[in-house]
Amino acid sequence: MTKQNAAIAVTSQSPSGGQLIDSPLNFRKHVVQVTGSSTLDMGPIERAEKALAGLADQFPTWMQDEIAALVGARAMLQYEGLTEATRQRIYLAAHNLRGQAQMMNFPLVGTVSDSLCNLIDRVPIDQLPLPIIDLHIEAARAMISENASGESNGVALKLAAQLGIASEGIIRKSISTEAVD
Amino acid sequence: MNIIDFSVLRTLIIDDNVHTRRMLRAILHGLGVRDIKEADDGATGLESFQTYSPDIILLDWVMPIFDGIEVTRMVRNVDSSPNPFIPIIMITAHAERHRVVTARDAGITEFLCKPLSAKALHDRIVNIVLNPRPFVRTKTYFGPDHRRIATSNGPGGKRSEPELIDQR
Repeated sequence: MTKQNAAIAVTSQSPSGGQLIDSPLNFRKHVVQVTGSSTLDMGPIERAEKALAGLADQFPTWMQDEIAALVGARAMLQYEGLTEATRQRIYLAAHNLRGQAQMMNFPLVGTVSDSLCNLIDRVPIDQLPLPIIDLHIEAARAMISENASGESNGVALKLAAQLGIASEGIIRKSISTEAVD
Repeated sequence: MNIIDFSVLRTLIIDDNVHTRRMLRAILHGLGVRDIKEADDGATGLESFQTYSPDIILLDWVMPIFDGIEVTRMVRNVDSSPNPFIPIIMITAHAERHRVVTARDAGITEFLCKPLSAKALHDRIVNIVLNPRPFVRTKTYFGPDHRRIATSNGPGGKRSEPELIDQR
């Protein structure tokens, strides 16, 4: 690769030493001039959406993989105890789940895993309540195995909301304890 | 009008999650990108960055070994990086404002919050190609200029010359 920082061209400089630099990268080769088309080229987006939709029948299996990783992380926590490594492993699994659940048509699993991530992220490790963590994991697992994560599912919706409230309450308590200390 | 020829865009995906990589690959293929390399952790991603010479990096935040922020800082290191100007799109489930600020301050070019969408990724790539940002170097920062720039030409118009001030 050509070293791109060899000739950095500074275009202007502030009195405090800050420099504004034009990028030497040239993306002109990626730009094609066309005439007679509509002003908004939707072709590539539509093709990309179609390609993504083509994966949809694999989403339930992928979600099973993701929840298995989370359950496995919980089992490791039980075996090794709550350490920075086991906390991180659970967080990583829950974070993967929250990033993908909505795309994979399991929106309430996304809500539950978001609540779990917030809990793990914001509550100090020595105050993390394992029963609440377990409830989140069990709720997500049940929603996936029962395919009951649509927002029209009243029970799942209520469960996700209650877990969110419980999680927020623990976070608030943790923050106020920290403030007093 | 200008359109993007995605077929010549060399793209490096750095993400530890195989399902996210498959979805990104599907979207990129749909957009027309043909040259895609994948790395499943930050260290492998940095190695691929050195050897594969991508035009653009799609980068996850939470990963083992080096996370996305650490990778960004290493890529933007002008003393050691083979291409500190490369556009980086950070794709993450982190949506909190302080996270966005952290990513921006590390030197990412664009931020894309999950859930993924074809349009959101398309729009960011188009923005990178058609409206490349100038870079800023201060004592503590090297990366794209993220200051909002008022243009007289409206959205998509040419950038006006910004007033140069340090970002920190």
